[in-house]
Amino acid sequence: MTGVKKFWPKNRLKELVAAPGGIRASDAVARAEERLETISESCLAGIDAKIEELSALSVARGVEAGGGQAIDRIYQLANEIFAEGGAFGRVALSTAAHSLCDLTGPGNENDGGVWDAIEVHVQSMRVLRRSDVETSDQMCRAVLDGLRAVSKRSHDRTAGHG
Amino acid sequence: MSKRSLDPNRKVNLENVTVLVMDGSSHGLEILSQILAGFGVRTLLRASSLEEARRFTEKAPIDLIVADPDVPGEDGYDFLRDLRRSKRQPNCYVPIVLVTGHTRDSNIKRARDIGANMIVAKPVSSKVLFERILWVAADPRPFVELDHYVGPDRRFKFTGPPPGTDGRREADLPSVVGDAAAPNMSQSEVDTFMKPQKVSL
Repeated sequence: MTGVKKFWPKNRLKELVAAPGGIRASDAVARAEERLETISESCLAGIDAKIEELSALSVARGVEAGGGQAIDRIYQLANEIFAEGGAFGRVALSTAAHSLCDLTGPGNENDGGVWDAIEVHVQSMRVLRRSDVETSDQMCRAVLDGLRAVSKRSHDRTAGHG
Repeated sequence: MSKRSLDPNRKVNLENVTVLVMDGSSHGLEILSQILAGFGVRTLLRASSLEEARRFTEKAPIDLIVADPDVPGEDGYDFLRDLRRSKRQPNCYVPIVLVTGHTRDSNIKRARDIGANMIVAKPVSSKVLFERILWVAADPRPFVELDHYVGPDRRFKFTGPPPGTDGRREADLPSVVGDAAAPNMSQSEVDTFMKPQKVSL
């Protein structure tokens, strides 16, 4: 085994961050939030398009694309909705998308029954994007409770408990 | 590593920092870019594929990488590991903040083992990303180069050499000497022995 070489390379980031000028930390964070707000509409429209693509994949049940490929794409879309919905404060939508990631992510041995659970997730995400639901904590909670029950049933079935 | 919370009045200058930002999702890339621009970054190199990111790393010095390694159909972890091993200075030593979506233990271990300095879980919050960038800037850890690893020292907790070995470093104590007799005490436990007082400095 060769030895360990240990050294301290020059950290230009450290020097630049401490350079004269700049802005207060609280202002930097506030400006970032303001800039995010300017793209929220287009990003939320993008999320809606992703939900529609999920819906089409869910209806096709992997017949055209091949089950594995379709599941990979569903995982990728769910992962994006999880991250992008959460960045714009859509916590319930982000939670539902995370649950779909858990269901379809690498390492899961999904049987044909997984498509029912995928369909319920997609429908739930559609409901969570409705303006009357997005603004109601109670309705969001009810949708997520239903989703958790579906996920548990799907997990129990693939684990051979159900 | 010191992990203080952010002082809101601290002045920070990111104007002249060149940041490579990579995300396979166009909206994800836009979110990260807007946040970084809000922090004051003027030079943003935006990459939505590993090929674009690779070209940027070969072209000019980069001061910070903020990247989601889950690029569809490609392996962003391998790309960043290869960058660390490339010996292409200064970019092989650039601080790397990974942002990860659906985060599993295996991703975190992999991120650590390819030489990332910090991992931020999505959904990204502006405040958390800002804090982590400052932590990375102040990171006092040395770099280590081994046959199978190049990156910041992963052994920053000083828990001794790996179990069953006497260690590879001159500073490593033999495990029979280095083993702790009892768990470390927390600061609040230590404080109960010292009667801490409020002081004005």
